[in-house]
Amino acid sequence: MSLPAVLDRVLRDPLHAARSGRAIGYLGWDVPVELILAAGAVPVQLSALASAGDTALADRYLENSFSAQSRTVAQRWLSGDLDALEAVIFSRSDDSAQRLYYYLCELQRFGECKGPRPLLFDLARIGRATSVAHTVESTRSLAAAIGADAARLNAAVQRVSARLSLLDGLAKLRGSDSAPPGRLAYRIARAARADWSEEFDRSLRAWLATPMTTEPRKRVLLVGSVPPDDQPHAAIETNDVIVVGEINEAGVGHSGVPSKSVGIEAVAHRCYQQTTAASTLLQSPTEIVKRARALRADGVIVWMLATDTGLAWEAPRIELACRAAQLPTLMLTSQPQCLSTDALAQLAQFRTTLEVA
Amino acid sequence: MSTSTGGQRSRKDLECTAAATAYQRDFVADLKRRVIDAGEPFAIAQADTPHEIFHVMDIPLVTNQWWSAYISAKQLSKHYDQVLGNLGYPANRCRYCSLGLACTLDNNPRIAPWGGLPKPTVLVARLTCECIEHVFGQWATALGSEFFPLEAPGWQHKDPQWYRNSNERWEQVFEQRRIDLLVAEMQELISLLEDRTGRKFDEAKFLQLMLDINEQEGYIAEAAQMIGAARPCPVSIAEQMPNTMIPQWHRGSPWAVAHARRFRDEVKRRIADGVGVGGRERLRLMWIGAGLWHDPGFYSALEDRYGAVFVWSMYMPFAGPQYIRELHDRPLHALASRICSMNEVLHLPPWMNEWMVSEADRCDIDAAVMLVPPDNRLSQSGTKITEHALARAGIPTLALPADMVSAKDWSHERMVEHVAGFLRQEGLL
Repeated sequence: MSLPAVLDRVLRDPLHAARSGRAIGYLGWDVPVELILAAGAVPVQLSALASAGDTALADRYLENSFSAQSRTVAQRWLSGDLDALEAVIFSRSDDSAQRLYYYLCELQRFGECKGPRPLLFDLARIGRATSVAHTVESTRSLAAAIGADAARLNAAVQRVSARLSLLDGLAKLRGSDSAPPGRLAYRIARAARADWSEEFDRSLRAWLATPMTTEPRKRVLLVGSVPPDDQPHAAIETNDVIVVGEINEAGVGHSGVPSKSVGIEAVAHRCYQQTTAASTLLQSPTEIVKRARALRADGVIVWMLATDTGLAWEAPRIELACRAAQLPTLMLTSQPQCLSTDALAQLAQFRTTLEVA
Repeated sequence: MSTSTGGQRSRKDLECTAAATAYQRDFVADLKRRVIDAGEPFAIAQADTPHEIFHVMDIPLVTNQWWSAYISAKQLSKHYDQVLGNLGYPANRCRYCSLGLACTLDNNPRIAPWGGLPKPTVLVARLTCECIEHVFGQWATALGSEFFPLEAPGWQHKDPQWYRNSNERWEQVFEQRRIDLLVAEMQELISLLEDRTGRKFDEAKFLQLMLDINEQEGYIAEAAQMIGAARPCPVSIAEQMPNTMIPQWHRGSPWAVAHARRFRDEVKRRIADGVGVGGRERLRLMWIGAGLWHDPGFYSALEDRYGAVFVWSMYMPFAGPQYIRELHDRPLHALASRICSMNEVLHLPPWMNEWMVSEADRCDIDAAVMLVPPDNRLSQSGTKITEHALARAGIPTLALPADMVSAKDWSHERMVEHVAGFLRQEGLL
C-alpha cells in the first residue's frame, strides 16, 4: 500500500487495528510502546483520535483546563467507543492525561462508565539519579501490568528503534534544500505514532527512497504545542512557504534513537531521556534558535494552545531569543484548538513579512 | 473588561485570632530582619514541601503561597499581573504561584514588599502541576539561585478512606515507593543545605519537632471535631484559617504548639457558652478551595446578612489526617508520607471527593461553595467530580469562577448576592 493510502487509513480511523485483536491504548508522548508490542498487543495512540464535536459526556466531569485530546479521549471512553481496548496507559508526564487517569478510575469505581483498564506510566522527569531509578521501577511495574513478555522485548525494542530511525530520516529530509511539505511530514509523524505495523515501515521506507519534495521559498520552524492535526501546517504553507520542523513535546524523540541494548531498563531510559530532552529543549531559547539556524529557518512561529498552561511560561523567553537572533517571529499564544480567523490573518501577515525580510 | 470592587475585612471575634495575627506580624518583621537586613541564607518553598527540614536547620523560609497572599494583601496583585502581561506572558497563566516571580521580574524596590526578595540559597517545589517547574525555574534564574524540584509521582493505591488510615498506616495509604523517593530527595536537599549554609540537620532535634507537630496538630484536629459537631458554629472559617495556618507555618515551634492548645481551649469555651458566628445560624456552608485572600469579608457578609455560616474550609480539618503521623521509628519517612500527597488528596479523586463528602456529613453541611480559578488547572482539578459526589450525598454545590489572590473581575456585592441567589434557588434561604 502506498504511504498516502496508509496515512489516510490510519488517521481516518486510529482504532481500526484495535478491532481485530488485542490492543492497548496510550495517551502521552513517552509511553513505552516497546512494552505493548512485547505484550503481543497492538499499540493505539489515542492522541490520534479526531476531536469529538460533541463533548457533553466529558464536560460533565472534566474542568475547562483539560487538553482537547484528554477531553476527546474522555468523551470516546464514556461513549463506549474504546471498549475494544484492553487497557489504556496514561503518562504521568502529561498533566492533563495523568489527571484523566484518576478521573476514569473513579468513574469506573462508581459505575459511571466501563471501558478499558486505566493504567499509569509513572515517568519521573527531574534530572536526578533518584528520578531515573523511579522511572526504571515504574517501567518494570507497567511491563508486569500489561504482561510484556521478556522473550519478545528484544524484537519490540528493535521495532521501535527501526521506526525512530525512519522518522530520523524524515527529519533530515525536511532539513535539506528540497523538503517535503510540512503538512505531509507532520501527517507521517502523527500516523507513525498511531500505527506500529510493519506495513507502515515498508511504505515509509519506500516513500523516503523517492520522496515528494520541493525547494521552499521560505522555511518556517513551528514551536510550541503539539498540533492535533495538520491544520496549522496547512494554514502556514502557501506559496511554497514550508514548515521544515517542529519543536514540541512529541517531536524531539527522533534524534534520540535508542542504543542497541535490550531489557526494560533500556526502555525506561529511552522514555526518560525523551521526556527530559523535550522539556529541556522547550525551556532553552538558545537551543531553539540553534535548531532554527540548523534548519535554515527564515522565521519561527510560536503556536501555543490555551490549555498548555506550562508551556505558556516559556513564550516570552522564546520570543526574546528569536528576536535577538533577528529571526522573524510570530507569537500565537493562548490559542483555541481550531485556528481562529484572527490567527489566520496573522499567519497571512507573517508570510508577507517573510517575503520582505 | 476586568473589574474589581471592594474586598472587605472579615469580622474577628476570638482572642486567639488577635494573638496569632500579632505573632505573625512580629514573625514577619523578624523574618525580614534576618533575610533582608542580616542577609542570612534563606529558602523559598511551596507550601507542600518539607518545611520541617528548614525549621530544624533554622533556615528562614519564605513560603510562596504566603508571599503571594502577602503581596495580594498589599493590593499589589493587579500591578504584578500587569507586569507579567507587559513582559509577554500569555493571558492563560495561573496567578497563585506566580506573584513572587512577577515581583522579582518587576525589580522595583519602591513597590515590592520588603523592597523585593534577595537571592535565596535555594527554591524548592514539588512538580504537582505543569506550571510550577517553569515558574520556579525562571524565578531561580532571575534571583541567581538554584531550583531544587521534588517529584510528584503517580499514586496507584487508592484508598478512599485515606483520612481514617493516614495517621498510622501511612506506608500503605501513601505507597512505600512514593515515600522512599521523597526520602531520597529530602536527603539530597539536606546535603545541599548543609553544604551551602554550614548549618546542620540535627536528627534528635528533628525527632522532637515531629513529636511536637503531632501534639500541635492533635489540638487543631480536636478543635475541628468540636466545631463540626457544635450548633451553632462557634468559629467562622475566617478565624479558623489564621488560627490554623499561622501556627502551621511555624509547625512544631513552642509558640505554635501553645497557640494550637489555646485555640482549642477557646473553641471549647465558646461552645460551652453557646456562642455562635454572627447572629443566628440558618445554614451551614462548606468552602472548598483556597482562601479568598483578597476579600475575607465575603464570608462574614453571608453570615451577617443571611445566617449562612461557613462552618468548613479545608485548612483546619486537614491538620488531623494529613499532618499527624505515628513515627514508627522512621521520622523522615513519616515526614515524607505527610508531604508526598499533600496536594493530591486535595485535588484528585478519589481522595478529594471522598474526604469532602465525609466532612460534609460530619459537619452537617447544607450546601457547598467551591472556588474554581479560571486559569489554574491544579486548583480546578477534581472540582467537578467532587461536585457530583456531593450531589449524590444531597449537598448542592455552587462553583465560583474566581481567583484566590487576584481580585480581577471580582465584585464583593455581586458575589455575595450570587451565592445568596444560589441558596434561594436550592430552597435553603
